[in-house]
Amino acid sequence: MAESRSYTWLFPLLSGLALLLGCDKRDSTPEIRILWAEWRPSDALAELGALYQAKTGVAVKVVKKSWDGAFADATFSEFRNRDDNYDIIIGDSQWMGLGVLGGHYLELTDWMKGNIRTEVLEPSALKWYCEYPKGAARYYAVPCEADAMAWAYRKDLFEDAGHRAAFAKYLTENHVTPLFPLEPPGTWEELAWIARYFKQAIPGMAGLVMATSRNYDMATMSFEPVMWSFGGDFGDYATNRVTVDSRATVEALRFYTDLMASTSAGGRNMGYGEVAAEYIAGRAAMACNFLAFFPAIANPGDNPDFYDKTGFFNSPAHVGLDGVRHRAVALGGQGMSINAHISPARQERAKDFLKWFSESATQKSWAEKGGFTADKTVLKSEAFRKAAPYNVLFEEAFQLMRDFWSVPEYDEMMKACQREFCAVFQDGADPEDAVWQIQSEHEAILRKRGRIQ
Amino acid sequence: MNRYRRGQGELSESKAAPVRALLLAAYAMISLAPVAYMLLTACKVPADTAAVPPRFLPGLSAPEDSFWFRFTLANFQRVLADAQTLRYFFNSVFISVCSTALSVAIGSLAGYGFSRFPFRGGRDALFFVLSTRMLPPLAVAVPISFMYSRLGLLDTRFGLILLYTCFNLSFATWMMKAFIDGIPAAYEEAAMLDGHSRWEAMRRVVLPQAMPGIAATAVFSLISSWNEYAFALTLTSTDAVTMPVRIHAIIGDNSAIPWGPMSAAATLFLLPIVFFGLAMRKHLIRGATFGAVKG
Amino acid sequence: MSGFNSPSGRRDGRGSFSDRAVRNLCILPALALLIAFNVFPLLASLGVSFTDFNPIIDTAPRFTGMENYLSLVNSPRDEVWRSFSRTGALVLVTVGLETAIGFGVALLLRSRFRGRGLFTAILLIPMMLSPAVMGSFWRYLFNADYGALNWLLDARWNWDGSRALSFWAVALAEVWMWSPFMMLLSLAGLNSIPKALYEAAEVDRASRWLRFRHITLPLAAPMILLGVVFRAMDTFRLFDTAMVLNGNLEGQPTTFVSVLLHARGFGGSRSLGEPTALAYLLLIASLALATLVLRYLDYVRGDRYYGRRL
Repeated sequence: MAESRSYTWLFPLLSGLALLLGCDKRDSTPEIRILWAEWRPSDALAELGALYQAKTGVAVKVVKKSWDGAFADATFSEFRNRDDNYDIIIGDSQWMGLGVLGGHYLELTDWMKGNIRTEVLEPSALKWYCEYPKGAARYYAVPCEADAMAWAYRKDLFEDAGHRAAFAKYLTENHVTPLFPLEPPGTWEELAWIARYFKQAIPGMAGLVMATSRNYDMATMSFEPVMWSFGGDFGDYATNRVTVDSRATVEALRFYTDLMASTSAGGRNMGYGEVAAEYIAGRAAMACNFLAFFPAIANPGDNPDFYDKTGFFNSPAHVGLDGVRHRAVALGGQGMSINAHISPARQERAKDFLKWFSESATQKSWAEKGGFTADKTVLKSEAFRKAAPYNVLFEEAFQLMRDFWSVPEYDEMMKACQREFCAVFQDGADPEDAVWQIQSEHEAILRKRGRIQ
Repeated sequence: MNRYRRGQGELSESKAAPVRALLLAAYAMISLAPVAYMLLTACKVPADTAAVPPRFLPGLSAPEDSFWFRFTLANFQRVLADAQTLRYFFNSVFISVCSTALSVAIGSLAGYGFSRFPFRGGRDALFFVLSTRMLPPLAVAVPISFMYSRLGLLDTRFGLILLYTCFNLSFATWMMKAFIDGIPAAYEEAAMLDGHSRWEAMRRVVLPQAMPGIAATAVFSLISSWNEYAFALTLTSTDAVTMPVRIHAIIGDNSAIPWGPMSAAATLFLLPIVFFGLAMRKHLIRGATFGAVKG
Repeated sequence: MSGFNSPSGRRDGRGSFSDRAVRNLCILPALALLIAFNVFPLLASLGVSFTDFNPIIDTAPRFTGMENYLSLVNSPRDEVWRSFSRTGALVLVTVGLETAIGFGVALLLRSRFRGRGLFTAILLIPMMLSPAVMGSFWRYLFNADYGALNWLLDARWNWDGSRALSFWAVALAEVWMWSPFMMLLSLAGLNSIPKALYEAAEVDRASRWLRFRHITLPLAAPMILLGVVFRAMDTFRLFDTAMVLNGNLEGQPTTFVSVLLHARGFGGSRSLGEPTALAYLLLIASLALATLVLRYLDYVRGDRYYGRRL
């Protein structure tokens, strides 16, 4: 029975130990805590932070939270409890309204005048990442990671003489006029024909893969560029007028549903990671994804088979029902905001970091480490344009960027879009019903919160 | 029902043995196949994780349409390269061991109390203990994170230990009560008549008899605090982060292909708890050693 | 309650503690901890469920009475009721299968053979994996293009995407993960049956079926039912697996109550009132379910105090 005695004493001992060691102590050295997502740009920012610490003695700690909802949860929990766990929040562009109207982001408009050279920043980055409401010239962030959706394609297949000849034949057989070469497409129609061609030409190969999962905002994000190119839109973000119920959006939905016939068997419910996985496995001719994903696609470590056989292009254009040629890319990326709930001393410390981060010299090393800058002096430099094959897309993308609503209710509005769009893409629902439903729900949401009359 | 009857053999049934072995082997194969596949996936280069047909054989090259994949340890390397991983791993071990010890200790006491001293309102108290497990974590996450924020328990190991102890307590109490119910009180009474105090009787008679129960409770508690994700996510940021949060971050990393590193991290994270389960195996399968008082 | 006939109804001869004091010392730590950690969240949630409180936008909370509950009950397309019935179906299917498989395997594991402990411990591996992580791995196994499952079945089924299959994909992942739990509890229940009973039955020449029906089942039942209660409650609030496999969109076959809770709230601009009210509805349903199973447990054990033989 001696054995049982030892068990009895184990419990109080361990409990005491837990109490003793569990009282975790926070060190009080000056430190800037930054909340961001778990991905490579965060590591690049941590490297920059080490430089900053060497220069100023202030430590920079980047807390990385998974994109899989954790990042949003952590941010909203910080907002909800008015906590001061983080000095800087690199929040998603759509969270602007929540951060600003809830009083969680510090307004930087006046401070920026003397401290940030806004003239070297891409105007669209300033608008989408920093300004709220859009057009009001009030700023709550500095641009941090400027991201957008673009396409990767298999250069080896596109340049293959056999495929080029077969493609021309395929177009003729299908009475497509005018004929066009097998090259990165200039219009959505061309993109669709290329995708169809590869789907039928190579067994087991998808013409294209896109993130159209039901999760979060994926299906909506991937559909956005098509909708905008067809002349449709969610609404006017300055006046909060909803315009999603339009012929153009319906046409775009029909087109996009057709486009999905060229994807893989599981292609209708894929996430961003799965899209890249399909492409890297050589199972897709074209893949639509965020630029932040392209370093993995262009790197032999992650993509041993096709890293040097991959080209990149921005979303193509379309002549809409209004006869105008539209072109747009869906915006990703984040601005860097200061948590309004931290002490004034910490706010000053955070502002110093923002100022240092926004200097062109810092932005240059930011871009070198793999961050995506919005600084024109860096974007236009030869060194940057040559550093990676997809870097040339940036400048064009900045001119084409558009985003979803960023009112605090963006989440509810996104849910309506996801539900109705997925019903069309995946379950064959009627596009006209879908856009009508979204229109009425969006209006109801905005009206309920008094954002429209 | 046939299978059950055949298996019901405390009594020797040599004819049934091969059938039983066959059935068990089949179950083990089906049940463990996904785990084995995870192990293989952890050793694949990204391109081979999405190959058709799926590749099962480790090799140096991967010819088209074969079952060979390119063997690599890069996924493990990538998981372990993160300087924080070791710290998070320690957090996981520390938090789950402490909270398991606490919940087993407190739960055993409570189980003993409920089993041996039925009292008016005891039924309601037991039901209250059970009901603490019914609210979805999502619903309590918001008030708890508020409470922790105000108490200064956010991002502390201590905070998570307390919380996990609470989560496991309802199961530990019920489980231990059920076990102690099965231990005839006559033994304790005999010990007390022999001049032992109640505490001594409890320790010397009940505790050893309840070891299978304690082992099972400990395994369950450890598993659930080891794997807890939702609260570790909202209540920690840097200091007290546990491994499930870390693994999930790897999965959610949109700038890489998730399957390989995810499997590697999950495999590494699985090992300690498997060892714990193996260490406890004797207790888990040990039958009741007491005899014929019951029934 | 049929009385205070504790094993030693008298005062402990030697110790200075009365039975009552011992009982309190035993029970109070657990109750105190549970009350401290549950009463605040429970009361706070209950309060919030009658308001339109939104701490992120931070407008003053307004008391809205039963509005949140009414809007749930009258939700468009009956989404709330349907989420409850989906959850109920999932509980029936998965807990039923888990119990059948777990109990079956436990019966097979009863006989002594070499390495039985090792084998049992290894069979527990599925439930040792983190549900949050395993959900993602099942997504990989279920992948329509390169998933191992479709290859085995020689199919191109869209497991996590299609309406027909996504419910079963979640159920499959759950049953796979939690059958070992039921196996372990069944084993504990079976192990607690004294061998002497079987020996006595053997002497009486009772048939195997009779032995199973009258010894094995009733004596193992309390442990198994305990497992059923806890599995049912955990499945009732299932979230991770469904979320990872099929997202949190409303109106899907996998939009269980917890998933709906996630879809309806905690995303920022919505008030916490409605999701909290939904959580309370779930709590009430769980309480009802637990009461039902516990009554059955009482019935099986032939008494009225949660398994205790008086």
